[in-house]
Amino acid sequence: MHRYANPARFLKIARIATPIVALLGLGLTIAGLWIGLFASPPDYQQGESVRIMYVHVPAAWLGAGGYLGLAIASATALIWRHPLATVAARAIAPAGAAFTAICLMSGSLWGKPTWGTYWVWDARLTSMLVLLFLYLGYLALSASEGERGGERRGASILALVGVINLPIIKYSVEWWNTLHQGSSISVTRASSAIAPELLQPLLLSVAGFTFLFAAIVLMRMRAMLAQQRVDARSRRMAEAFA
Amino acid sequence: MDGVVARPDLWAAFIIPAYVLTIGGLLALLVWAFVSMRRAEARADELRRK
Repeated sequence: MHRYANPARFLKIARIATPIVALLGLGLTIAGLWIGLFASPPDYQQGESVRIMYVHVPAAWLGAGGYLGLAIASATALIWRHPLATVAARAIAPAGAAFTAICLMSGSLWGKPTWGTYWVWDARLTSMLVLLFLYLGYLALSASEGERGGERRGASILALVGVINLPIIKYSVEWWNTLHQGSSISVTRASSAIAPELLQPLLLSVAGFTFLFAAIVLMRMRAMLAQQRVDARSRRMAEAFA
Repeated sequence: MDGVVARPDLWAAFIIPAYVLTIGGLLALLVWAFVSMRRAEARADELRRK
């Protein structure tokens, strides 16, 4: 892993990977959403409103998955002081926050025709809202520590503490009586509770959104590394002219 | 028709807004990440040439 900790080596790989990952993400997302909207059948219970699943589930997966990535990057930054780890964490946070917000809003639009309400203080919905607050807290703390020239250790610790929310989100539908449905797809179960005609566009859009998330993170990391080079060079020039 | 509640059109009221919100947010994120990357890399290249 440390072999890729060198920013110059990372940038060399990232410059090649960014357009590939972005194009792959766009292609898969367009295919998934197109099939989901126009080619897949309506659900036998939920009818047409099930089509919101093709944007809601990928957003939820990336909101929670992004937070896990943020926590791993923060732990790496705290323990090994990996030079790219803080940059990666800072790149993941705004994208993860945006996907969590999209998940909450699209879920709300799904909730109204399904449950008859846009919002309920249900365990799954509330724990996702807490996830959004954790992202916002990380972003605010990281920005304030960065302004003071700190190493953003407080923000990294907050990211690690917030990991406790991830199993709560995952198991909230089992631990409490919730309006939110239980999980339909499981890696441990042999069969899925979702029909193959609905599963195919869902998997396509999950894969597409994941590649687009990766492209956003790569682009943000490249921007931050370039900014670091600008800051370092400006400092050296200022010292030379002083 | 007393007591009959009109159901809203699912596509217009919920499905299209959910897609517009998601695709709009996704595109905004992609454009922001791309523009900020291009600007920062252009600044770094310009400074290196100086």
